[in-house]
Amino acid sequence: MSDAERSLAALEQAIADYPRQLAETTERVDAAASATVTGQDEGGLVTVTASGAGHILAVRVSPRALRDLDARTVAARVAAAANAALARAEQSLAEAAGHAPADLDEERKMRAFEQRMDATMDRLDRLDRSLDRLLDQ
Amino acid sequence: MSDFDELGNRLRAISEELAEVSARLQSTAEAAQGRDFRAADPDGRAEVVVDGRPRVVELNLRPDALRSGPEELDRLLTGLLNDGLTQARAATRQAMLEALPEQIRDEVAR
Repeated sequence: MSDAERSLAALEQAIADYPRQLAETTERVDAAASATVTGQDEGGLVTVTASGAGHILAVRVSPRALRDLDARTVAARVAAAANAALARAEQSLAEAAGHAPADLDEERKMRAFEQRMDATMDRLDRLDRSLDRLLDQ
Repeated sequence: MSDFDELGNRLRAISEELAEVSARLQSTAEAAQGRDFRAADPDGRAEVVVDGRPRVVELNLRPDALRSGPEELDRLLTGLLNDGLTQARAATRQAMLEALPEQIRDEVAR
């Protein structure tokens, strides 16, 4: 089998596999969205529970925080705990969707996409030339 | 022009269009993420500001909110946070939908 034929076979296989992969990803994302995650402030006095979809389910402020901290400090701790829970929910959804880690920025994603497109174009070009050669024979 | 040349040209055009849509979505997402959304309880005991990412950027609590007890405080904060987060998500989603090509907007919105 030539390189061109192998490339085409791989492309056909990828297309054939797509519905199954999509169904699996959808199932993983649904499970992650309905799972629960928690976030805490640095001192562990406030705990926020959220769904994987980022819906806040509960905000637990410990009796110690209510007793010892002023309203402004409690508010800052709640905000920190909520943001920790939201970040965790986002991360778990991204992992379920099979996305690259959060530090992979858009520019790198675009570059990766362009490289794949270049590789595809190169394969098509080689396939085209192989076919031309076959037709010339 | 062979079939493969034609296919190559089509793929190239799709690639360029995708790059353009991607740049537009990126800039729309950045603008949407920088917007603020505010939610407050009717009694003025608490107020939350959420940005478009969405993250809590500000939370104000009046001292008497702490005296209402842990369960009441939980209900108050859970409701307010979800109010702000829902506004932020809805606005970001709407902005992103509007940045999509018209042909696929309705399908994505479903």
